Amino acid sequence: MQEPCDIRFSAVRKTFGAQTVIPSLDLEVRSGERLVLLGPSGCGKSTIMRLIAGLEQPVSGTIAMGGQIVNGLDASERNVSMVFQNYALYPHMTVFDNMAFSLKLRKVAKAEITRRIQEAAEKLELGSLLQRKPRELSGGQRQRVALGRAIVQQSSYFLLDEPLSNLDAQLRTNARNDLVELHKSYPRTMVYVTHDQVEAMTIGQRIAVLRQGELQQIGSPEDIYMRPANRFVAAFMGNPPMNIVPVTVGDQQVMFADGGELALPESVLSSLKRCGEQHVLLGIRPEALELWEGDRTVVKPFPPSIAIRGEFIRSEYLGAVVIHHIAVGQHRLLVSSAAPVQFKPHSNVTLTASCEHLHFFEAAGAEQRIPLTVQHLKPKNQPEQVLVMSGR
Amino acid sequence: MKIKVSGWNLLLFICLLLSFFPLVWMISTTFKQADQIFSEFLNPLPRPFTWENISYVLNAVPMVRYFINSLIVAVLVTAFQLVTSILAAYSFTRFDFKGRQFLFYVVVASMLIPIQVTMLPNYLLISKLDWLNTYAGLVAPQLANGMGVFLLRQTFRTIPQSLYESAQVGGAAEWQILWRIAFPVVRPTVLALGVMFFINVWNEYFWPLLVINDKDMLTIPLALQLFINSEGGNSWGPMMAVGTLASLPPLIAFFIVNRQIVSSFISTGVKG
Repeated sequence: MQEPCDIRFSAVRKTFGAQTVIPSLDLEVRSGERLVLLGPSGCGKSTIMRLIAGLEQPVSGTIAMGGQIVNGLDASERNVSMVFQNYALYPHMTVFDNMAFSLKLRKVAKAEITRRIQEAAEKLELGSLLQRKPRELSGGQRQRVALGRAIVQQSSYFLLDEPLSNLDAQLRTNARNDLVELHKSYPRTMVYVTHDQVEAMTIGQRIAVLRQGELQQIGSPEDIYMRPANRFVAAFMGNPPMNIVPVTVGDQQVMFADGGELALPESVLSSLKRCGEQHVLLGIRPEALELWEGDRTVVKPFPPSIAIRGEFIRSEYLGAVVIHHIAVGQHRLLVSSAAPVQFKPHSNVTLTASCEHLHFFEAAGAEQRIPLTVQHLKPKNQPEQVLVMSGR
Repeated sequence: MKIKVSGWNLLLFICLLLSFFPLVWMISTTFKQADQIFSEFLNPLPRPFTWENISYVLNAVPMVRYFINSLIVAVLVTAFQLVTSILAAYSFTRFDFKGRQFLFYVVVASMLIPIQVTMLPNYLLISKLDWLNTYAGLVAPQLANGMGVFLLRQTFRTIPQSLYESAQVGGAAEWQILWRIAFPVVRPTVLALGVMFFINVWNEYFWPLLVINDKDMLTIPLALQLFINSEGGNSWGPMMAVGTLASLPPLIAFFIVNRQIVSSFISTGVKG
């Protein structure tokens, strides 16, 4: 693309009557990237998309597209094309007419319209369906028509509002790949709204996680997953969700509410002490934990690790992964592993994890991430081998 | 096929006979000779079959002229009512303006006001405008119809918001969204309303009776009274002939549009 097609929100505020949907949003969508707006329903992600499309206007703040401020500009003047959740195909028009509709309005030459539609139809395998009406199409075909209708407009901005949510699981997987491939052939600035984290991770080059109209974190899928900015992002991303346990920071260890203790390497503890909070939240992803039978202490000092003793409750077999439920004091931790285990219920087990995989969040306020420094080299005279006790 | 006759079926059949009897009687009387009308009151078959009532009616009064009068008024009123209903209903659905709900209630309330309440002010207005005995006088008070606005608004509301928005993002102006997206979807309702409006106006008796006394400006329902008054109320053959002629256009209109209404209902598969 020759001209920059970025989108910039500066202090954008949107209310509906007395209800504030977006308090104040700063957001940048880079030219040509695939940005996914992710969040639970009601978090304002669709509103943001509608603000970009011009279907809603902000109460205050500015929205700039390609360097131009577009506040007040009508949807028809913004050079965007949009795919709606229910596809919004015109029921009385054939597939061809649906795709040609906005081109005809924009007075594109007939031959050019036909050329563009045929090209898109070929790419989306719609060739044989062009003369059908929407009601004669399956869900997947309708979804592709909606995509095709957006593509032929050759707009600079491509907005997709949960376009895959009406498809079944199998189709959705294919459609995700198709979308990414499609974006490679039509490298426009693409904003994609979803509440599905798998969609977000697979489609987004960057993900913006939203909650109650506020941006929680924006970054690459790896960033969001590996370094969640706060407890909300940590808990929202990942399935099964991250184990999050409130702990109190002590001198050599952190204490669980039920009296259990977890000894931590000095480097981690000093990071925690630096932030000055006494009560913090400890987060460990289920796949970061390793499950061992019986009581075990960590023998490998590198990388620095922790061990947690618990009681095996049960396993859920999901095929590719197995989820194990482990009781640690009054807490229930989830562990995922590739292979099933043959432990007896209520038998003693030990969970180990590398300290690199520990996340700490403030227990109050915005529950921000507490940055950790984990020393990888063994400091002199200080074994970084740790273990834990927990009230079992 | 096995037909099960229950008490309800029988009752329905009797109701059907009762509702059809006047229509059948009107048509058969039209083609009966004067002496057969009461001697074979219940026999629906005219023997001998005669056109004389029809030809009498056509010759005795300027029937064609009355037909044209009725047609002009009915078409004009129907067209105006449809256009105003579509525009108003679309605005009530699509635009969020101050007082929208209140205005809509006013429109709905207008359906509750009987003609007897508006008749005098309307008559005075039309008379002040010097529109008595004119088409304008017949048409002007009926340019909008609250029922049409109400029914069409309900239909427009069934169209998913995203359909409008998709067109809007696609570059359509508001009138294009209305004409090319919304209207085709609500066309069956518009056609049904059109037939309803047309039949209402075609059959209208009271308002034309007030504003028309020029014999050339009579509409068909008014022409009926010519035969009641002048012939002392006993020329049933010609009266029924006028009736039969008068019911033809609405019937034809209904049958033509009926097929379209059904087929457009079938083709309107708004995605579920």
